Amino acid sequence: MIDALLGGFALLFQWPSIGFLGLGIMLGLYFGAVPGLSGLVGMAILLPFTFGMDPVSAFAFLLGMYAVTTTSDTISSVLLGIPGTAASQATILDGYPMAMRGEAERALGAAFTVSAVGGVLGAIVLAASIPLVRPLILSFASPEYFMLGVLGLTMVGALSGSSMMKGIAAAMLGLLVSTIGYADQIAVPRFFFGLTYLLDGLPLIPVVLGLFAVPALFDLSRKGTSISQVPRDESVGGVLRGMRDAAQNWWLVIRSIVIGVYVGMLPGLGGSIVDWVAYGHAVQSAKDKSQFGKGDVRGVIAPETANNAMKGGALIPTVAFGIPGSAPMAILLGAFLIQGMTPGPEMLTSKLDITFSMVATLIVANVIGAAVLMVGAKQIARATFISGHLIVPAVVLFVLMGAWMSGNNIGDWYLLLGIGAIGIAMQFSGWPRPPLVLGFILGPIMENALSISLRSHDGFGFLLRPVTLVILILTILVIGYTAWKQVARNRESKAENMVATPGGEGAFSEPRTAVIVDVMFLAVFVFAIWTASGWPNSVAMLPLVAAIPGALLALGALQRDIRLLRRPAVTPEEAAAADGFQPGTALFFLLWIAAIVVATVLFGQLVALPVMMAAYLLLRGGRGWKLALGYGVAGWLFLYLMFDRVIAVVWYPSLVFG
Amino acid sequence: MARFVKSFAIAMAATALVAAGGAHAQFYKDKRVTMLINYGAGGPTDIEGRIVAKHLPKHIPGNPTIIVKNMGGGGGMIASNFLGEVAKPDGMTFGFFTWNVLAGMIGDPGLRVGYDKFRFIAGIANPVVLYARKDTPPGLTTGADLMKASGFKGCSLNVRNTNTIQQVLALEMLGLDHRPVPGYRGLKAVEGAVLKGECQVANSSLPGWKGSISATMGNDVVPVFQLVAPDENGKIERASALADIPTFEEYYAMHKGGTPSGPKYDALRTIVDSFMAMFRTAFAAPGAPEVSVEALRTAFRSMWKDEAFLADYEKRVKNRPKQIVGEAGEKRIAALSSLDPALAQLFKDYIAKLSK
Repeated sequence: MIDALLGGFALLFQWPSIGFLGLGIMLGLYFGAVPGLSGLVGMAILLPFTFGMDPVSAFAFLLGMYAVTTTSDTISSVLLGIPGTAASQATILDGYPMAMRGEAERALGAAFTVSAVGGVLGAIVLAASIPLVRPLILSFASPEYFMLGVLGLTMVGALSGSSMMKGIAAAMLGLLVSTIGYADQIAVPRFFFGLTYLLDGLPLIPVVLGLFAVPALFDLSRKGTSISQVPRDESVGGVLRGMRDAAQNWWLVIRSIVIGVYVGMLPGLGGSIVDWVAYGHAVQSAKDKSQFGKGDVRGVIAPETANNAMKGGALIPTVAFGIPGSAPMAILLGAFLIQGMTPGPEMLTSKLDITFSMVATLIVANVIGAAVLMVGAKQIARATFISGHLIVPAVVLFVLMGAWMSGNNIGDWYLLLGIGAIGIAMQFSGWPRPPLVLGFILGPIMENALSISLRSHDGFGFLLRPVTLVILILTILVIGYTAWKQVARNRESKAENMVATPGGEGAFSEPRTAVIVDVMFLAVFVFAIWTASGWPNSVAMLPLVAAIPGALLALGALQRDIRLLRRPAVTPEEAAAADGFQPGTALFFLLWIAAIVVATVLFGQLVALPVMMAAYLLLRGGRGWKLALGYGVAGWLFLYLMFDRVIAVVWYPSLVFG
Repeated sequence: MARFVKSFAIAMAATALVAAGGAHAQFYKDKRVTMLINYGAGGPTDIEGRIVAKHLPKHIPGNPTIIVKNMGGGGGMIASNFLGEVAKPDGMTFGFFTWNVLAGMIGDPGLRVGYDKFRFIAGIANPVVLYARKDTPPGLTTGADLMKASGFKGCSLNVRNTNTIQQVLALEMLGLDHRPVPGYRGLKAVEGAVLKGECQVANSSLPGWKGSISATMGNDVVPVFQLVAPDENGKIERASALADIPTFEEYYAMHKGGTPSGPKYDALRTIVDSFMAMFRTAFAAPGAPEVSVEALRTAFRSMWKDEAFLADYEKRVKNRPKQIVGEAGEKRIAALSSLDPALAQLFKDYIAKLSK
């Protein structure tokens, strides 16, 4: 084993493998940093280039890229409040508030440090787990997946910020929305309204970008100030402070590594939930939870550790059994095909040195990637002091193209716009968004696993499987603990179930908006109940399980918000949370994005995006025409070179140019 | 005089051939052709498509550049809808699909353009192997022992997928008492389920069987039978890469006696004769110029004799490709559009039954 490990390193450090590793790392840092791109997109783009490479070079290239995307994705999450990849959603909750406080460097320093540690230790756990991996993988089947989904849902409490009732209702809404389209085990499409676009369900990337990126960009646009609300000369907490934070929270780092590796090892769960699970665990296990959601560095440390450690975990079933641990690993299997290799026993025996070259790749890439970013962290963090108007158009381009890459479908842009409006409304009406995302991701996993479990294990007898039973007990304990803590917190707070504090998900702000959103969501739940009631049981189960409690909770939230609406005056805390929000400004921002979509339908992305970027700078940003023109040209060049020449994206066939 | 007429006719025919070849050569010269693949990067459709994209250009007069674009989702129907409705029918875009034959047969609302509307270029055949865990009670040493088993679970993809329907039909025809467990999200999930013992029986294409299952689970599973399309003479024979595995017809004859027949067999053959005969298909857009369709068909025929392509394909797919080109394929697809309504209803009934 030691010989194979050293052999793996030796293979990696030969030419041309080391060269391809370096190139892969640089590309991975780019793919992670740009919102909407990701390790998955990177894998898809780079895979064809591995035809003709030797195996070690091919895997060094792909895994070198893949290993570091969850290091650089922190940049967008912290600086912009937009997830750089689907695995960096939770980082926004505390990373972005830190940036607004002028502590971007500290957040990045902590994140890059734990990313490196998580990635390296995750790879080491991968190597050490190889003899144990078979019993581990075999003990997790559909029943265990279902229970893990239920356990994951218990994180909702931790993700609901100051509004538990709305948090649980948001999770129910996420579960409900996840039922749109066909499920794998039934032949009746749900809630598709005759639209072919909806038959396949809602795609994840436009939903996540809509919920988080659009409100973040709206915030930047309406304030017109820099991201940091603190002047540069008053900002505190540099990179070194972040590294110290990581060291001081070493026990949280270890636990997050375990979460990352073992969630990553379970095929089908993947990176999109690992950061939520780690974040939720950090909140649940913390003695002082008061700063989570408002810039607690632990809210950055936990998810950023886990999403890098996950990479090693996901490689285990992929290499050992040919069963991909995540979506990018499914593409890596394509690399095996291209090399004429077969994952499985030979990768753990006669080709063990190649397997260890993959481990070596993860270790080296994580260290180099983090080091490169650490050196540049100070410069990167300066973006938080640039005027928001200079950032918004470029980021809108990234976000729209990221959503486009999801399916090359203009429907994804309509979806982004619609979800963006909902995200803005939720942000200013006390509805936390993370539980919605968690429900949306877990819904299909749980429904599919439950259906298979019931068929395969004689009904609910699957609950008596040993591992399932352990997870069930754990779930009950977590629910009980969360409920007990909530009751204790309620005794200390003045408002029932809600503390009006500035910042953080679920912070109460605009009363009228809150009532409107409550009514809207209540109507959605009621419609779902009414529609699903006429379906067969197997079709209606999840929609009704989500919609009935969702409706009751939404009704409760509405009653409370109406009471609050009748209060004579807004408290100073609520005014601070509202932060000058006016619904009309949101409408104008959304109309600008809608105008981009209309212009795309007419003229295509290559015309619409650069023109609308320039128009924003002229009309909203108050900049001169030279800057606007230069910005537009740069946008066009980026679109053409990156998306047309390199990625070969399928552009929208516009009405005018075809 | 007769000699003159004969010479003139030959000269005219030769001129026509040269002109056609010339038209072909001009059509794709210096052009960029897009190949749409209806599944995501890294999957078997993508890999096979990219092997084709790598070798095909040199067989097309004018040696155009082929750009591969992935457009997955909707069970492969998003790309086929795009090719049928949005892509310009100018010969510059063609699809390389794993087509959704069942969607066409049952009128799936997701499929807006029937496959009979496309111009069929070429198809690659792929048999399917049904396999079982050796520890399926009472214990299997060979595939024949599956006939002694009962109450086992057969896992498969979603209820609207041929992977599910063909397995259920075949096992029912053999009179085997089994419980279908459809709904797995991908063939890798199915393999995982068999590996974990969550189910005992499943089926996979030849590349999956040779490239993954027999390598990772070879000690734990046995092949039972193969489903293979008939050759051009209508004869059903074992695929050369699966010479040791009986065809479903041979297996049926061994254990039930005689040849299979009846509505279930008609339904099974409808799937196998179309889908497995042309597992991967290259389609041109409806209304594509005839010269482009012919140029591509000729190129595929030529590529099938290219040893470099065959070796590349076999290295990755673990099988020499067996092709069908042109009108022969179009006939098979056209036959599906005039499917016996009773057969279509049978498929719908199965889907409804499995959804409960």
